Amino acid sequence: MVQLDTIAFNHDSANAMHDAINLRKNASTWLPVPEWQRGVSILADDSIAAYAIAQIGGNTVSIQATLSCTNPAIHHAWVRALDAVVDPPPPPGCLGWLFQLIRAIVRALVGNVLGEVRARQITFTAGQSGPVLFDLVHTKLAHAAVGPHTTKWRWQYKLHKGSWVDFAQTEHRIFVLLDLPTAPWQQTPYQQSNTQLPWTDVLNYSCQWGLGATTREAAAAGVTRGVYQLGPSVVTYDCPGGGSSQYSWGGFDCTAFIDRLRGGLGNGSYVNCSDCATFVSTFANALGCDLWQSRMSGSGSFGLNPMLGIGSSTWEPCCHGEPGWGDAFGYHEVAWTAGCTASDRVYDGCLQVDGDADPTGPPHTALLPTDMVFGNTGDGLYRDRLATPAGRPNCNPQPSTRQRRPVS
Amino acid sequence: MQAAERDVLKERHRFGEWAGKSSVSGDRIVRDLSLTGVELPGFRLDRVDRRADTQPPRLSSFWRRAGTQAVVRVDLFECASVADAHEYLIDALNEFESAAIVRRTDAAIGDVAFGTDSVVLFARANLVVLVRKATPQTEVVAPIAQALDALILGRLKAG
Repeated sequence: MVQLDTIAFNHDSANAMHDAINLRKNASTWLPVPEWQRGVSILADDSIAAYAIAQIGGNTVSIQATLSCTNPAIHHAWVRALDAVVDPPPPPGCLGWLFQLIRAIVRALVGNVLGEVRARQITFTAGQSGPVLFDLVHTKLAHAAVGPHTTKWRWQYKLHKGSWVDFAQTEHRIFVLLDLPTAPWQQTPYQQSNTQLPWTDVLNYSCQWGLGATTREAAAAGVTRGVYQLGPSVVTYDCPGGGSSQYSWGGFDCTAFIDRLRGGLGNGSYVNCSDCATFVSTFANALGCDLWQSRMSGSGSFGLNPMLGIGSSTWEPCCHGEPGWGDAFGYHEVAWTAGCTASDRVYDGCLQVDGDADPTGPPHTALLPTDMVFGNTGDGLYRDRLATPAGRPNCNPQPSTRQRRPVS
Repeated sequence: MQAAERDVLKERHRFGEWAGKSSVSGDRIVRDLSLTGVELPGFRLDRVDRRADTQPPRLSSFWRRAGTQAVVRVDLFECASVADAHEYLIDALNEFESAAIVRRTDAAIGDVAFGTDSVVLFARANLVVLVRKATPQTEVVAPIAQALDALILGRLKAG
């Protein structure tokens, strides 16, 4: 009788204060809106949306749906959607009141981030509702953390003085971000030719790595850990190739990186620091962080303290003993905050430094640099942990190299 | 890259010794070089990506050693001239984190070449070529670089 035809989460591409943000699937594939379509969207991953917590704040979130009715005698109906997980069909009999109490508790504890669809009356004209805005209630976005979530709705309609009747169930993958993605990601222009709109293929990993984060620092740290932990099974430091850029040469070959993450060849298993800095900053910025890729270097190379390069379990200066190396970096690149100066903070997904009082020798205490001030010589901060005492004068921030490589 | 950075790299790699020098005359350049899979015997061409929107345009290819999972990556950068190719070599050297990638004169590859047994970066005429391992393997890549160099020379002679 009544059927749900479409649901649009991003129904207003001009802002993200009441609805989902602008997205695309990847470099080559557009994400159509409405995100859910009857007969097309079956699984949660067939209907994807992302919300930026800082934009939503305490605002009422809405979706836009279209419905139709096959009975020409019906011109009006009330429509709503319940959380299908915490509001399954109730049992009959005297257990009903207990069921109501339990589901109220469950909703409070684990209810999906989008909550439920508030009931409203729909008018059908020639059997069609046209686009109708529905407010969401019991949403948890204002207090949510970064992560991928699944929303399952149980859609119901009610005719005048009737009871609620189930007529559809839908599933949606909902990514929760701290804020609007920052560069290289864009929100405008919202058109298919813009490949810099945030990719859901990227959010899928960003949200897993940044899971549970409620601050930019925690999200960036999570992404940094996620990237570093790709070694050695997915990527490893490019010792054979002299530490050459495999994914970040002339831009970020994000398509190849995602292929690699999914078990394909991508651009191969080797990465260097520029690649890792690009992975970290681009994937963290997709969550609303604000990182850059920037280099440190000097007039010559700088010697290295023992470290654990990505994919390595041996404490040694990077690529120690390999041809084409000399226990030194000609430059190093990391994800960096603000102006990428000595007083700004770095997130290095490429290596772990020695975190104890003496980073120049054993014993070693592995420390992944996250939210660590770059520092000056003698501070005991990132610079001192990475470079040998003799190398530190050549390990200087180079903020002129600050960039955010476009994705392709 | 900043001018000062470029100067440091040029000095480190003795740019003045090889810049502008080519075994072929300056007006002979290669355009739209394509790879069909027959160029490297013993390898199967896995994937080719042509990027015309990069500067310089780039042809990246991935070659799988026959009977193994080992993959070698070849990038061909098509510059406008010999001089541009040699300038781009400096940009390319700036993509190596190691400071110990040095010039090679022992392997007779290109007009000028850099690298090790596992990575070769060379320029021939207006092309810059980078051959490197994409996955772990023990074999050296210099023979691949030499085969590609011969291919380029053949194209140059054919006009």
